[in-house]
Amino acid sequence: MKRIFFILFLIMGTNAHAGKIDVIKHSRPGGLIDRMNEVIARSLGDDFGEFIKVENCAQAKKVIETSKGKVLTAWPTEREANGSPCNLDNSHLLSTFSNSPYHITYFKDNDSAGELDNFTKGTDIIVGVWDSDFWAPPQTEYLQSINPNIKVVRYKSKPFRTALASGEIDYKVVSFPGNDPVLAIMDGNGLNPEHRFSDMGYSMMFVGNFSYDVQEVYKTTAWQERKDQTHAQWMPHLSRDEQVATVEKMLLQISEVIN
Amino acid sequence: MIETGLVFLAGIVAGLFAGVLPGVGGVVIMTMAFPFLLQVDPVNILIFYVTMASIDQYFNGITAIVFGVPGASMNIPTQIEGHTLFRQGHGSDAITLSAVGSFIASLFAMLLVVAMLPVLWSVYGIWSSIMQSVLLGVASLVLVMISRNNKMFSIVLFCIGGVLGQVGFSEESGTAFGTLGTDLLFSGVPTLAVLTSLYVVPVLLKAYKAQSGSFDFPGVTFAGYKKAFLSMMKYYRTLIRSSFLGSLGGLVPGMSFGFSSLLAYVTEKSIRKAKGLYKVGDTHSLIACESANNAGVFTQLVPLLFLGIPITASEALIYNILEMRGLPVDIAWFQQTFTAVIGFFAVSSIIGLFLSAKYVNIIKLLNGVPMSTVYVFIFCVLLFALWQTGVSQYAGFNHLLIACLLLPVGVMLHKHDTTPLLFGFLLSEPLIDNLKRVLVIYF
Repeated sequence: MKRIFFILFLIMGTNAHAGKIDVIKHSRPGGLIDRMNEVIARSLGDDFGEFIKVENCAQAKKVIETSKGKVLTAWPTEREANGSPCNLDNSHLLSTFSNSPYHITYFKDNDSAGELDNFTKGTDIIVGVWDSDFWAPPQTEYLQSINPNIKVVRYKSKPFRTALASGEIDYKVVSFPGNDPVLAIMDGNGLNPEHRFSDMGYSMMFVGNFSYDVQEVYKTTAWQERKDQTHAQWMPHLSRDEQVATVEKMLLQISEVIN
Repeated sequence: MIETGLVFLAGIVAGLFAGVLPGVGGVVIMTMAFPFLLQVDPVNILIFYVTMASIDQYFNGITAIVFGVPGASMNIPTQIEGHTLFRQGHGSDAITLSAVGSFIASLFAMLLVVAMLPVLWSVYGIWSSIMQSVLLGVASLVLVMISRNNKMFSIVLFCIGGVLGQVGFSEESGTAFGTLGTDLLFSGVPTLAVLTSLYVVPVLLKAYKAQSGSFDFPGVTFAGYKKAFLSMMKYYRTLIRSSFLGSLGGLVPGMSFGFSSLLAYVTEKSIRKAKGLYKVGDTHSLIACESANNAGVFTQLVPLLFLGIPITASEALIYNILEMRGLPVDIAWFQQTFTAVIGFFAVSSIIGLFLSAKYVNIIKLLNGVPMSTVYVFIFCVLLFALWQTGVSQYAGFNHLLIACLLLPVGVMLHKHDTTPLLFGFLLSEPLIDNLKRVLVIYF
């Protein structure tokens, strides 16, 4: 029954917006990925059809693989790691999309945390990271390459918001620093630039079921006015194949740490 | 000024819908109101939210008391005590006492925040992972111990609830648990499905079997309110205790006022049991959970207003809207809005107090309708709510389907107290998450 409704939904959607490009929404409303999909939709202008709203990445994957109409969406890179049920075939990876370097932040009232020496040489340093089995291991490797005494604690998103204010961690690693002061940015130029994960950020791919140049998105005011300014164009000067190869290499490196 | 008035009215209507319709919580309303909120003055966005949240609490409580349907998990204690009182013919007392208690608790929370302004920054020093673990652990343990089931059976139910809460694909770990290879369970088991099939249905079925006859509700009068106000002296210890616990609980990220209600309820029920005074339909326990709820509704704004940190999904949406509008979303701006926010929260609390009486008297229209018909109607409303929330969360019929699959289990358990199962479902994840952090930080 569910499949019948799903197919009917797809057919109805396709007929109503023939020729237009639909954008799949597959994540929490108001969140980063959702906002990026809004940007893509706005960048399409008159070519935009409608949002196809699905509950999770598995359903989004199904839409990309089976939809007769044209669909696009922003897709977190970690979903392309081996073993993820949302892993898409390479043919659906149109290009890389956006990347934001991780920021190492601290609480503004924590004076000692503002000292770089405290971070690099302190003996009892606790750093909070987002509770991701994919991103946390390479972050931990990088942080401990700077200071082996660093203890890394993983947080789910809500308790992570007040973790610094609670005083139980000294620093947190986030792609959005918000109002918290930034000690360092993991952009490959700051602390321990030689490390293989020194420029690792939170990134997204640009995926779909037809050929569409991501540069068309970057050119629009929707992209210029995006809220998430720390998310910049990701490898825009490389060809699509070079981008995919670079991403695959990164995923492989991270998989080595995880395993 | 006109816009503020209109936004305030919209907040009242939104709160009414959020309170009356099960599953339609603050996040759903805020998502629906998103395009409208993009157009209004930034301060009015906050006014809309506090008004909606405040009114929502009054109506959520009434739905739980009269119909036995907790609109959200935080209203389960209200349902347990309040609906029992309703079935015993004390529905009017239950409504007025909880409404007046809620109102006093709202004022308490506002005064507490104002008094604590100079030291608010240090509040989060208390809310470490270890403190959250202790509170969650104690609350879980007490919930199991005070259940009327055999203790071992309650522990098993709690664990089953915990396992049920883990079902689904985790983006964080990249792994799926208990999805049985189907897409249906990929996003986990929805809370409203568990609430409906494993809690409300057993409760309604038991009530249906135990009581025939017709719906009978004498209504609420202003004299009843006066009486409730005067009787509050009798409950002052309960009020202070639960308002304080509620205010503190509201500050917990990820749990906010839902946890406030539970914490205050568990505390009060334990105290009453220790004194040998507790039996289901206890007004002290009812006042405790309802007042804690309302106190928490206000204090959950503190992290947003004073730290610039949104701790609930609704607040995160507000934060996004403000940022999308290109506003300087900083602590200084939030602090400027504090006076307006506190003022509108106080007014909406007064309106909620009296509007709830007005609304509740409409229910008298049901007087004389057979109880069996009322319960069937409630069940149909819940099925509709499941479909509606499924659609609003991009899940189509999935939530409804999952609830139907769980239904036989609920029917099977209708002679037992399924509260431990429900709280195992709700509390196990934050409990395990906190304990994992405590282990890393302190050991």
